[in-house]
Amino acid sequence: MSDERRDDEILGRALARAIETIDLNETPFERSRIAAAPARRFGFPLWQLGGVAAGLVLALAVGSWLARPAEAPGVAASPTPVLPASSGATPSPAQTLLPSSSAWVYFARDGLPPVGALVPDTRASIGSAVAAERVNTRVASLWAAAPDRVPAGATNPMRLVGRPSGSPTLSTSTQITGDVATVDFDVPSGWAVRGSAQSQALLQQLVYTITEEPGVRAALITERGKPAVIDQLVVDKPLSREDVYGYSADATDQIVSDGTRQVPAAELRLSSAYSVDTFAPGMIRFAVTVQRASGTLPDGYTPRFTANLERVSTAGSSPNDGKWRLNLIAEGTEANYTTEIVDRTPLRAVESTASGPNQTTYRLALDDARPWRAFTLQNPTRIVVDIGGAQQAVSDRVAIYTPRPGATVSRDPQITGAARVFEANVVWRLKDNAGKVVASGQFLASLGTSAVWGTFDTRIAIPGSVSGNVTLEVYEASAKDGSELGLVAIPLTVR
Amino acid sequence: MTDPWRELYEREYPRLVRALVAIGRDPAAAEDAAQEAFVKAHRTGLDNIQKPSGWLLVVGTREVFRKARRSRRESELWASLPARDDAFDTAADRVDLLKALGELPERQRAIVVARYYYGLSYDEIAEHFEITSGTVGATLHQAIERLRQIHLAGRLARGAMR
Repeated sequence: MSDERRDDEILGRALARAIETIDLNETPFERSRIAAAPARRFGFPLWQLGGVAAGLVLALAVGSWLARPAEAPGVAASPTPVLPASSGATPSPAQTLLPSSSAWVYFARDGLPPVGALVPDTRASIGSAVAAERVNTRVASLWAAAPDRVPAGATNPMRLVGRPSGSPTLSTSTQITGDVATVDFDVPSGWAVRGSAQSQALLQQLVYTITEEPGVRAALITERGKPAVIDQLVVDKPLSREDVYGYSADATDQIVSDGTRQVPAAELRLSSAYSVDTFAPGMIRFAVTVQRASGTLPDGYTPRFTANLERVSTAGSSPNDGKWRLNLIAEGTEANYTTEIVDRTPLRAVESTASGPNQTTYRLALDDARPWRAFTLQNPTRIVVDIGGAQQAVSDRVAIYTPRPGATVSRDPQITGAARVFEANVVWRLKDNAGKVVASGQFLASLGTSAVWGTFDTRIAIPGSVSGNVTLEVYEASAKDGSELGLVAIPLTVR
Repeated sequence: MTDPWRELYEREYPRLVRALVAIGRDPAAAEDAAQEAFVKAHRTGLDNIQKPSGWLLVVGTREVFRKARRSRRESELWASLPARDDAFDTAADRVDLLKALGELPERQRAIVVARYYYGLSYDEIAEHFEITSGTVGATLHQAIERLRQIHLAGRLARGAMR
């Protein structure tokens, strides 16, 4: 045991002894509330009642979702949609103006998870009451999507897959068991994709599209009842979005900031904004600006907040509930509490509510659980949550926002991003295309050794002898043995 | 026939109340929360609870925090803590430590008590509080570090006054 650990243990034990000395007014069992409680299994135990209530809510919610016209894409509906993001409450009747038959499907992207978009519903059955039928419809609509429906920067390898002869469309048969949808394909002429990149792209878009169905978390893709073989990729188990999204790190559960130099929560006013793909590709930035109702925040003030990621229960009634929810709880109040449907992958909706006296909870409905970070910025004071980013540029300790993978850079490129590393010390090195280290160095993030991330904005120097294709590696050097932790490797071209 | 509820109650109740006093700083609220936790356990049924001691601690902690949010009591409560003889720690030290604990954020308090007073493993804490065991380690380390600082500051202040 290290000295540090032992010191912790000693203090911990002293604390345990201190707790043990707390004087008690011991209530004997006879006078306890359970001794007075009625015998168990008398009538309905409360939890059973809870189950019945939940069942009712679920039935209502599913009903209301079915009543919603085809896929209810908020963006297409109106500039300011008002559907609740997570409550699954009854939508407003105004929604009938929606295009009547479109399906939400996903297209593949290079170096990023798939991106969702609306395409015409080729089978006119997205409104079906049967979940399996809706899954079949989305897959067929993805297959049939015209090239002009594919978002910029995305591809549709599904388009290559041949349909069975005599069939006007690609048809699948789907069975849903629990949260797994088994989708059986009949592709007599094969999947038509070549190479691992294209096979993975196809698998990604299929898994995302199939799991779009509320309550479905994993897709098992089969070919006439046998495991599908997509080029050399053998699909022999159900895959969730996180199994195929391409990030090397798992998403953090929660990040808590205690804040510094606190001011009374009643004096804090919050306003929030989001962006998708602006600061880095594949990334949501959600920022909450903190101000004082009157006067200014004290020097050195940082906000107190809690952010956590949770799975949306399978009872989620609408695709706009997403599969995951990121909750950000902050001190202060917003002038307007709203729900906005965003539908820009991976952000489906943003909801803000007053969750207590002088406390606001923001709920971000997400398509998947990609790695995320939380930190604070000054001038103005903001709580920032960044979700995702380019796959190659994000780990559990480091996220590089610029330069982007594949970029052409000068000899003193600006490096921006965030890190959660020991003592804020971020290490970098540059490798040439033979893998030889041609430059290296380190810089400091704004914060280190903390649950909250630090940020950086710095420049590195690339020697004049280096040009062409290089790889920028950024990581934490382990304080224990110098090993590389959370390494990200970004391919660049030096001009 | 022994009543399993009486057995559980007599074994767990004193420890639970002490833990909840340490976490929530209010003896009356702690008693109330401990009773509530037992009532909830009773409703859930022993068959449905795998590790009753940890379960009671988590449910009791939630109760304490819920109540604390409703009415914040003053921290003067510590003044009434009794002094007891102990070979290692002076009474003043103990009161200081508990006071320092009270200055940590709620969640850290709960995790520190679960680890050091209840002796739960990282994995058990992770399971009960629904966080990763990595988060448990980080939270504990952070909490103890702060505890050390607050405690040290308190000691210095007391030394200066003597």
